[in-house]
Amino acid sequence: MAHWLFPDFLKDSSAYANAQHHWEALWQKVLGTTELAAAWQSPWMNNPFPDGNPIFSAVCSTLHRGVRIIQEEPGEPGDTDLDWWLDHFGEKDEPDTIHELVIACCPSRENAAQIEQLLRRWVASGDLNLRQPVGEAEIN
Amino acid sequence: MLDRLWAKLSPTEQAERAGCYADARKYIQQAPANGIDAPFSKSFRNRKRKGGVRIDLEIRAGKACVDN
Repeated sequence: MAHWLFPDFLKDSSAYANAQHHWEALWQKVLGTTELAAAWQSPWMNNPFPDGNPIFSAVCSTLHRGVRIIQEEPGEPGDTDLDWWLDHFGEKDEPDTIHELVIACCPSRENAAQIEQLLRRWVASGDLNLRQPVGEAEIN
Repeated sequence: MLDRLWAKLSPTEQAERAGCYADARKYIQQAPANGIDAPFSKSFRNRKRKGGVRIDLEIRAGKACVDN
């Protein structure tokens, strides 16, 4: 059984704030390992509603690299509690496009290490060593 | 625009994304009256599937979803 973190974050504003702090603290921990920490800006995305989508975002214009984290409530049996993919914010071939790692998850004690590892790899190298691109074709 | 994009999907792609599409439409309809500023990106995913089976809404510049 998973040990969910902030499972009531959409029902309780203080839990939402705690969840935001959790992601910001994790991000600072990850950034502590990179020389380009000062070049990363957060938040990156506007989100008019506190719905967790995204709950955290950051961008490094120098590297044309971004991070977006979507926090979801614990789902139904069979729902994934951690998924991620690579995407582009902007047209893939344009010079100012941002290559982004998107993580969608219900954070838990069980998936925390994997999420941190994804962020570390992305910040350090912009490469997750995926066997195949997880993203999908954009529909324009 | 969302409806036009939806029409380009195959029946299989639509079946995998039916819930994503409903959520995206609902979100646009409930957007603030004065719209949403860029940069904005929101993903509506199928939680039964791994690998990002989803519909994305993006605002790359300016403002969108403003009430007429």
